[in-house]
Formats: sequence, structure tokens, C-alpha cells
Amino acid sequence: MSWQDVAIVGPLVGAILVAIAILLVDLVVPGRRGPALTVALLGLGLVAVLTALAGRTPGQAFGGAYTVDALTTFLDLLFISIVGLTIVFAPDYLEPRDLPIAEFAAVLVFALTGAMLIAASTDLLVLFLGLELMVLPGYLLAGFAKRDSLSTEGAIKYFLLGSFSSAIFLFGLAYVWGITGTTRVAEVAAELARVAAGGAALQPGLALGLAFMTTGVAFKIAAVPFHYWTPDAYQGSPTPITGYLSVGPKVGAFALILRLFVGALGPLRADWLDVIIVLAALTMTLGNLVALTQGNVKRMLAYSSIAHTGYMLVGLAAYAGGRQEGLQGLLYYGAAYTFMNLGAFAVVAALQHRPGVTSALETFAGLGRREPLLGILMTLFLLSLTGIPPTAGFFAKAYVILAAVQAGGALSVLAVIAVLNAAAAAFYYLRVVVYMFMREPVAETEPQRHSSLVWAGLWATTVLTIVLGLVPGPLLSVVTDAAKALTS
Amino acid sequence: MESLVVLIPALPLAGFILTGLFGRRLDKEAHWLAVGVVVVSWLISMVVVVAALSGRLGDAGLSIKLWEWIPAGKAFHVDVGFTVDNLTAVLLIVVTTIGMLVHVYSIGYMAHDPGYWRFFAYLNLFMFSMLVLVLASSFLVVFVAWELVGLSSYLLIGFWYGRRSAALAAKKAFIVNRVGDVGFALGIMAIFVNTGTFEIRESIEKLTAAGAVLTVPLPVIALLVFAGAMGKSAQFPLHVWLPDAMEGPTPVSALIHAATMVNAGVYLVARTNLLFAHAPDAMVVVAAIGIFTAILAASIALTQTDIKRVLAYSTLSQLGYMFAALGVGAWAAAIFHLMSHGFFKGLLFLDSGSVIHAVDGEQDMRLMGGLSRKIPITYGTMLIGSVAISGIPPLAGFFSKDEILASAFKNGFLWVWLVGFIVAGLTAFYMFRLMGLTFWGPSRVDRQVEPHIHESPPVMTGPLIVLAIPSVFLGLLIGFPPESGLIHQWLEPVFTDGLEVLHRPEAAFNVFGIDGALVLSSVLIAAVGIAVAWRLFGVELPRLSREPDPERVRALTARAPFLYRASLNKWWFDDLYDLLFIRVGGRVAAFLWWFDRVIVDGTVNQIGIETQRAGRLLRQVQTGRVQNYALGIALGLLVMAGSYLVITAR
Amino acid sequence: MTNSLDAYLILSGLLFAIGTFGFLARRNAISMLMSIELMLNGVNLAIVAFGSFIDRLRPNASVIALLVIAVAAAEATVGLAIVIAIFRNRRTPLVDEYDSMRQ
Repeated sequence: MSWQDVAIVGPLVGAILVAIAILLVDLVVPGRRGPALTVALLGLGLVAVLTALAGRTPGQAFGGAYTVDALTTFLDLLFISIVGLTIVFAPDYLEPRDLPIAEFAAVLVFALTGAMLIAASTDLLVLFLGLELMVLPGYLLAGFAKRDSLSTEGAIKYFLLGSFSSAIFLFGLAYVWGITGTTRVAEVAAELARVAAGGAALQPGLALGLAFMTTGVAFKIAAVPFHYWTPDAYQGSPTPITGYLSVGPKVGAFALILRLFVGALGPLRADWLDVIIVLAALTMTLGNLVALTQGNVKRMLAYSSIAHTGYMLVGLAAYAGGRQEGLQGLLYYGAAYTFMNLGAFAVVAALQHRPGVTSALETFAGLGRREPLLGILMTLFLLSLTGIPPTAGFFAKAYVILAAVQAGGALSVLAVIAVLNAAAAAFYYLRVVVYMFMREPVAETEPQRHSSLVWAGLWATTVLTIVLGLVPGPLLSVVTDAAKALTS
Repeated sequence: MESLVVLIPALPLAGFILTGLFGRRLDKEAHWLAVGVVVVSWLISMVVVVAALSGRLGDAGLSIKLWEWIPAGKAFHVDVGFTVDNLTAVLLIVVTTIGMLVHVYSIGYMAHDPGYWRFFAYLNLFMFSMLVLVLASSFLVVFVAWELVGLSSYLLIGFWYGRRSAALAAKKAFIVNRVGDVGFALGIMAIFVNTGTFEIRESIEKLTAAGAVLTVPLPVIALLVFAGAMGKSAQFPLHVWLPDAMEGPTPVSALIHAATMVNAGVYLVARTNLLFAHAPDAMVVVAAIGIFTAILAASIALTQTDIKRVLAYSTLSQLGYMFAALGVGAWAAAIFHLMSHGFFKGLLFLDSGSVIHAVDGEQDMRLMGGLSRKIPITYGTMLIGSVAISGIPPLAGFFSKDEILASAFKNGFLWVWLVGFIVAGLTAFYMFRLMGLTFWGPSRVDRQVEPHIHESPPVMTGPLIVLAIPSVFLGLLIGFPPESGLIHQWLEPVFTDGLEVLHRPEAAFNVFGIDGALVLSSVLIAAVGIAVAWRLFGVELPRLSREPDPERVRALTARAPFLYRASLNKWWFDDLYDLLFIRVGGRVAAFLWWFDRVIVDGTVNQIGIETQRAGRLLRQVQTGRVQNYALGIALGLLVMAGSYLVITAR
Repeated sequence: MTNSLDAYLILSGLLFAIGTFGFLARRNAISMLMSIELMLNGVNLAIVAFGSFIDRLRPNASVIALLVIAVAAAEATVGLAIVIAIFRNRRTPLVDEYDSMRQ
């Protein structure tokens, strides 16, 4: 390990130090939200700066197991903003429920280190390590309200099924390693390229390895039919954590897909393309259909997050079908989805400020009159999730779908399915808008006060949701570079 | 000039933002800002329109690039920009003029509404979206505006959200439109895939260039674009949302659901005329759907009792005319009718609002009657609107409708002409039935309301009078002489390429030949329609005689021979009426009404129900038990392993 | 056949399958956790077998196996903590009684 290695892993080490610092601060001044939050947010800012600096000198460390390139930088910054926004939104919800904020922030930052490790790893083993490091804190967070029986119930389901799928994933990984003889992504790719060029049928062991890994990854991104854990885990968790779970681990798992499927298994993409197409079509359609029938906004958003997984898979499929734009679209979608979904969950959390308020549709009745600004922001996020222009959601969807159309063949069918699904999504997202603006409140509740931290976070997500829709150019350049770094 | 064009939509946008932010504080003064920006926007539009129509912007029009949405050098390159050509200019006249008048009218109409400022904010939002729609130079921006007008229409239909029916109608409008939008989106994608650009003009030139190799057949692309137009312009079978949309406040019905937004589809097809010219089969479909919508809606309008619903079905029917015109290749006539219809239907809706205002919110015409003397300005202007829509010369509707019918006939679409001819008669009938039930005869107004009937304030009657002027003179001004009037000169550069492709025979307008006969026949059928309605609903014309005087009426009708005969043979006429309108017509109308409500509407609703049911079925899988979930995952794994083994073995 | 890579791989597959079966069949959260450990052990056996039969995999194999053991331990820690938390709320370790969120 040289000094150069240290500079390259600097951001990761920084994130670990931030998590430890939060715990230490909580030890010194226990139970106060101020110091812990300050340390967490400042620390994350610092990590972001480090990431940006490290991104300026791409390189590898630890003999090629850890890589910093444009993709790493983009994903790291995205993860940092996910975690930062979650830390901003959560205290208002956690505090009235007597849940420890410092612990929450520390666990979240530990999850961040896992995600960052995934983004940078070019070694199968490190990928697995990063994945576990990311999801283990996720299990804890899902059960964070440990006296709440729904929260723990969601957590144990998430944990048991998550570990089950991790074991499946690991099984596949072991076989790919055993057959290709290496754990380095580049070497695996080279070996597989040689196999694919030979034109012979793949060894059954390799096919099984692919199947097991696809299953494990499909579980992590909540693709149908491996999505069962999502609604329960999402509904049980404290709302800001649900927001995090619907974004963080999902984008993290997509990072894993990029490094693993596009990086290592890229030469076999003709083989996994069909599977991804079927998964994408199933995921979009089922996610939307079931979201239609939900009467609880949190659960509805959980199912709709499944549908969004499907749209992102369309981007992946478009890449496998030969269009680099598919990758760009997938990355753009990830960013757009992050901000609009976190924003929507933040509004739900803000409504549930007082303990005992449910996330049922009725809670939203008359919100437009009670707290007009909150209602308008929620409408914006929902419109973006629906894909109504000129929001970020529209651009992301359009880009992914256009990439699929350009790839042609079975992918144009997939694109048509995506368009139909996007149209159907209007039904259930709009229902919330109808409740907010066109229903009288069930019980007259006075407007609640939200901390300036929450407002700051809401404004940030709002601005990003609009800007990413209106002026997509800058981010598009970034994701183009990121996609190029991955495939060249 | 360029910055002026940008200001046209920018001002209403600023109005929307400011009214939205500060409207609550302004409360009853909120209209100053909202109306002010629209008036200024109108003034600027007029400057731009004059420049465009006088040819100073050139045949291709003025193109303005605002910003690069997706910068060059990326996979796709999309500019956000505006184009002002003569077609846009004509649309600008309609949108800004009627928009401005409706804004003014709303000051009076919405005066007592608690959501006053909110209403004006939404109206401004609508103006912004609609103006972007007509100005946009690329399909993608048109689509953005397309969704935005849908959104503002949704907000305005559901404005009185306290009423459950209003909220439902709003949702229905949005969802039915969404169906059309899917088609439009697919069409845009198909265009982009084949041309690599979203620019309207450039992409259509590439699509229709000789020897272009297309992955999607041209007629399919044209029909996909038309699907979007069908949704927004409420053509069969996507028309079900428009009658329900009457739940919105009346100024909204006038502006959005009669004069502007519903025209977006007509505009879109006219804008892409070259595409349709190269796909004659698609044009036949357009003509067929248009003319079928026209007769379907007209037949339904015959039996409606809600004043606004009659007008809503009438709007559907007139939009059907426009699509029929687009389908037979009479694009200029379609835009001409769009313009004149915009004015007189806007007028009729605002009049109906004034009537509703006068009788304290009642919309059922059976509870009106005898209002002509009590609200004379409303009566007078509404009469002008009705005569105009019925196609009586020399009012606006006569010229535009007649051009459509004549073009259909001369371009060889005899069936379109025949159906359109019948619709013309029906139109005259139901409009004068409306007039008769509302204004003539004895009063059937509620005794409680009767003493309070009053003419609307000047802020409402003013726009009525202003709108009555183009309803009378527009046809003479730009539609005369027929087929070579000003409107044709204006639109000539826009449609010339398309017309060349169509190879329509050029024949001069011949007053003493076929054209004269066609004009005469359509005037006659309109007169018959009016006469029948008059006979049935307006015998006791208070204007003509202070007291009911059948003799006088008979003497009057004697001046028109056909009316005289009809009047003389009362038994025959009653029988005819009985036969035509009660036995047969009533049944046909009832059947069409049933068909519309149960089959078409029912199908739309059923699709919603079925998807919900499918969703519930799928939800059963979510049992809440970990074992079941794990079993699902394990089975999924097996399927996955199997499919990979199959895939990799090939 | 008895002392070949295939034999060990088949054994590891069997171990994995038994673990999967246990996970599907047992209702007790602790037993399910143990089943997952069994699955991971199956994977570990495959890794070690690859290492001992294929020379170029040898240096990596034991490292990977150790790492998997470490991850399994971490997983078990988190899992037990969650099981204890829900046991306090529900007074039962049987997961099929945790179904209050079906809708």
C-alpha cells in the first residue's frame, strides 16, 4: 500500500471516520441532536470534497481491486447526497418518537461506506464485501423503531430474505470465480470474452453462476419476481428511512450491476439481455398494477419504486442491446429518481411529524389547503415520478425509452411497454394529488411546524427535480463520461 | 421581434408564478396582475401577428432558439425553440384574443368565489402552456406543452373540487387524454428513431423525402400523431371526457373546452400536414373519425337539457367537422373553421355563463324560458352566435363550414359531404332549440329566482359584445371570396407542399355551377333546421308579438315557402316531427346516447376496473409471510437457472 | 469420482440445497438463520474445493473463504439483534405469525 493508494481511498476512509466521529460526539454529548448532526453534515461535505478531488486523478489502488474513475465519482457523490438528504429529513420524524438521532446518522454513514466501496470496486470479492456493508446497516435501519412491532417485522423479513439472497448471490460468485479463475473484473471480462469469442456453448457451471448472481442482484434492486420484501420492509420502517431504503440500496445495487454485469460479465451480454428484458417488463408492469390498488401512500410509493426499477432496467437492456445511451439513461434515471423520490418521502415524513399519524391516503386529504406549499411540492414530486414534463422524471424516462427504441428489435417492444406503464402510473400518483387538493380534510388538523432543515432539504430536492428536467445538459455530460469510463 | 415573441408566453408564466405566490394576499385584487399580463401578451401577439401575416417574417417564418435542452455532441440533440409562421400567427389570434376576453369576463363571473386568485393563477398557467404549444418548433416541446395544457385543464375542471362530480370529471379528462398521449408519445418516438431529430419541420421533411427507409410505416406514424390529436380534441372514441369537463367554471369551458385547448389536435394535424399528405390512408381515417364524431355528437345534442352540455356536444360536432376537413385535405378550411368556431363558440359559452349567472346557477333549460327581455344583451349576442354556428350567411360560421362541405364534395369525399350536410341541419336545429327553450316562450324559472333575474355586469357583457363582432364579420373579412379569401393567402405557404403532394384539382369558385348549388343546399338545410326548431320551441316569439299570436306567426312564416308549407300542413309536420324526432330520431339519438354512455364510456371505465382487479389479484401474492416470499424467490431462481441454461446452450 | 472437484461441488450444492430447504421449511427465525449459515457453508466448501483442485485458484481460496466466514458472522450478529427486538414485541420466534402487513 503506497501513499497514492491512500489518496485514492481517501474518500472511503473519510466516510468511515465521519461515522466514528458521530458516535464519539454522541458519547461526549449524549442525546443532543445539534452536535451529531453538525458533525455528520460537515463530515459528509468534507467527504464530498475529497471525492471530487480524488475524481480529478483517476487511478487504481490495491493492485487493481479499487478503482477511481468518472463512474466512481458520480456514484459516490450521488450516494453522499442520498445519505445527506436522509440525515436532513429524518430528525423531525425521529425526535418525537424518541429514536436516537446520532446512532441513526452513524449507521447511515456506515451504509454509505458500503455503497462507496461498491462504486469503486473492480474485484468481485470487494463487490460482495461492499454489498454486505451496504445492506447490513439497512436491516438495522429498517428495524430502527425497535419498540414498534411493524418496524421490527419489516426488518426481520428484510433481513431473512436479504441474507437468503446474499447467499444465492455468493454461490453464483463462487462459480464464476472458480471457472474464470480470477476475481479481478477486468480479467474476468477478458476470460469471458475469450469464451464468448469461441462461439461454443457456455459451461453449465457458468450459466448457473449467472443465474444465481442475477437472482441475487434482482432481489437487491427489488425486481419482480424477487420484490416481495419491499412493501413490508418499506411500510414498517420509519418514513425517512423508507425514503432512504427505496433509493440508497437500490442505486447501490445498480452500481453493483454496472460493475458486475456491464464490467465483468459484459462479454456475455447477449446471454443476459433476454433475461433483463423479461425482468424489466415484469417489474414495470407488476409494480404499477399493484401500486394501483394501494390505499396507503407509503406502500404505494414502495410498489411504484418497484416500477422505477423496471424503467432503470430498460436502460440496462438498451445498453446490452448495443446502445451506450442506455447506460447514460440508467445513470441519469438514478439521479433523477433519487431526488424526486426522496422529496416525496420527505413530504410524507413531514406530514407524520406527530406520532400516531398514519400514511394512509386520508392523511393527505385537504393538504393543499392546510399547508399549500407542502402540497405544491408534493405535487411536483408526484408529477416528476409520473413522468410529466418538464420535470426530471420526464427527461430520465424519455432518455431511457429512446435508447431502447434506438436499440430496436425486442427492445422497441420493451419501450412500448414502458410508455404504457408510464401512462398507467398517472392513475395512482394523481390519486394523491386529488386527495390533497380536491378533498376536505377528514379531521381538522392545524398546520404543523417543520424545521428549517427539512425545508432546506425540500427546496434542494425541488430545485434539482426541476433543473434536471429543464437543463439536463450538465448532468448528461457527467453521466456520459461515467458510462464511457465503465465501457472503455 | 425575437424577444417580443418570447414575451408572449413568458408574461402569462410570470403572471402564474406571481399570482400563485402572492395571490392569497391580493385576494379580490388578484385579477389585476393576471389580466394585465394577458392584455400585454395580446398586444405583443398582435404586433407579431401583423408582422407574420404581412409576410415580413418570410414564408418559413421566424425561428428562435431559446436554449439547448440536450446539447449537441450527445446522443441526441434537442433545442428548445419557437417558430412563428402564418399558421402559428392565426392560432395566436384565436388564443390570445379569446384568452384575454375570458380573463376579463372571469372578473365578473368568479367575483364571489373563494378561490378567486387560484382561478386566475390556473388561467395564466393555461395561457402559458397553450402559447408554448402553438409556438414550439420541436415535437418534444410540443409534447411538454401538450402535457401542461392537460394539467391546467385538469386543475380547472376540478376547480370546484367540493363537488365530487367535478373531481371525477377532472380525473377522467386527464386519464382519457393520457390514452391519446401514449399514441402521441409513440409517434414522436417513431419519428425520432427514423429521422434523428425532434424538429417538426426537419423531421417531417426527412420522413417524407423520396426514398426514405422507415422502420415504421408512414401511415402508422401519422395515425399515432393523430391519436394524440384525438385525445386532446375529443374525437370518437376518446370524446367522453369533454361533456363531463363542463363541471368546470363556465369561463373555463369557453376558453379551454371550446376555443383553444380542444383545437390543439386540429393544429397538430395541420402542422404535420405534409406527413398526412404522404399517407392518404391515414387521411381517410381522420376524415371518417371526424365526420362520425360530428354526427354522433350532433345527434346527442338534440336531446340534452343541460345548456352547457348541448354546447359541449356541439363543440365535439364542430371539431369533427374540422377533422373531416383535415382528412379531405382542406387544411386551410379546417383552420378557418377553427378560428371562426373559436370565436362564436367562445361567445356561446360565455353567453351560457351569463344565462346561468342570471338564473342563479340553474343549468337545466327546462327550468328557463322567456329570458329574452330580461337579459337582452346576453340574448342578442347569443342569437348572433347561434345564427353564426348554424351557417346562415353572411356570418362567420357560414363561410368556414361551407368551405369544408364544398371541399369534401369537390375532393371526391361524397360520404363526408352527405353526413356533414345532415349535421349542418341538426346543428341549426339544436341551437335554435336551445334558444327557444332558454329565451322564448313562457318562463319556467323557479318562482324564488324569478324576481332576481338580472343582466350581467358590464365586465361580463363587454366580452360578449366584443366576441359578437368577429362572429358576424370574420367570415366576410377573411373568408370572402370563398376559397381565395385572406385566410387562404395567409395559410398558403404553410400548406403548399402538402397540397402539391395531394394533387387536388384546381377549380375556380363558380357561383353558378357546383359551388353555388352546394352553398344553396347548405343554407337551405340550415334554414330547415332553424325552422323546425322555431316551430317547436319558439312559437310564442315575444319579440314579434307582445302576446301569443298564432296568426301572426303564420303570416310571418308564410314569407318563407318551405316554412309556410310546413306550417300549413300542421298535421303532416307534427307527424313528421313525431316520426323523425320522437320515434326514429329519438330512438337513434337514444341509442347513440346509450352507445356513448354504456359502450364507449363503459369501456373506458371498465379498463380502469379491470386493471384494478388485476392489481388486487397480484396483491394476493403479498401474503405477508416470509416463507411464501422465500418460496417465490426460490422458484424464481429455478426459472432463472433454467432459462439461462437454455439461453447459453443455443 | 470420489476424490474429484465434481464430487466436492456436488456436495457443496447439496449442502446449499439443504440450507435452502431448511430456510423454506422452518418457521423459527433462529432456525432460518441457521439455514442461511448452512447455505454459506455450502458456498465455502465450493470455494475451498476450487482452491485445492485448481492450482492457480489456491492462493485466493482461503482468503475468500475466511472473508465469507467473517461476513456470515456479521450477518448473524445483525440478525440475532433483530430477532431479539421482534421477540420482545411479539413474544414469538415463529415468523409465520409476523403477518400484520398483508394488504
